[in-house]
Amino acid sequence: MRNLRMKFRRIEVGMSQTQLAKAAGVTRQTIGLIEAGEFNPSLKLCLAICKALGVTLNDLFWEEDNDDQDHE
Amino acid sequence: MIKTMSSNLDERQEQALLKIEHNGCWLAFWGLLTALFVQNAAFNGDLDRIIGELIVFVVLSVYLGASCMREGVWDRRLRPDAKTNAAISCITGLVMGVGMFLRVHANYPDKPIGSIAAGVFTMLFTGTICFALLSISAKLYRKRVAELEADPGDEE
Repeated sequence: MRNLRMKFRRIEVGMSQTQLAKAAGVTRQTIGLIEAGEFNPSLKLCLAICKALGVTLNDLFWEEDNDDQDHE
Repeated sequence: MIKTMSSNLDERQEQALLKIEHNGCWLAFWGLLTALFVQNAAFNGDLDRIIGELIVFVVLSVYLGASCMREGVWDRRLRPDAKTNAAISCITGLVMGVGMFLRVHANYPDKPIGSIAAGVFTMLFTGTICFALLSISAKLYRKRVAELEADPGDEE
């Protein structure tokens, strides 16, 4: 499942994937794959991304059961 | 003073590299096994000419087996039960038996009964040894899993 909340938040704070990658200590490709839902980051990386974007884990990574229905 | 080198990879790249190394390991394992069979047939069972490959293969196998045992890991799909072990032993015995039959038959084409006897004996011997080793390994595995899964509180 794509992580659109992470992508929107990154755009909201005016960061590129490269800038976020640098702040979180990973490669740009890794950020791209997380946003595309093709790579599941560790808790450590989730925390680094949240800190870089100034949000909490819940804001980016918590999935409500009815999330899918909301998107539909 | 030795400077500890930090990894150049992030966690996704690390996973990708592990996957590549995993594939490389199994490629080497099966490639080596195939090479041993081919060389054994080509050199007519001359052990001196394949000893290097054989040592590498045995060391690799022992390392994989011992590491899995230590971590309490058996296999992704196969179960450590008698039925599965028997099936694997039968397949192994059959492959070795057919291989031996073909080799003996190639050397002594005028003695088909002897070739069949050599094949059957090899099949039974290899199958039995394989089943015994798998059964012992399965028993050790279950014992190791019990150790790893034991609640630390139980020891007090």
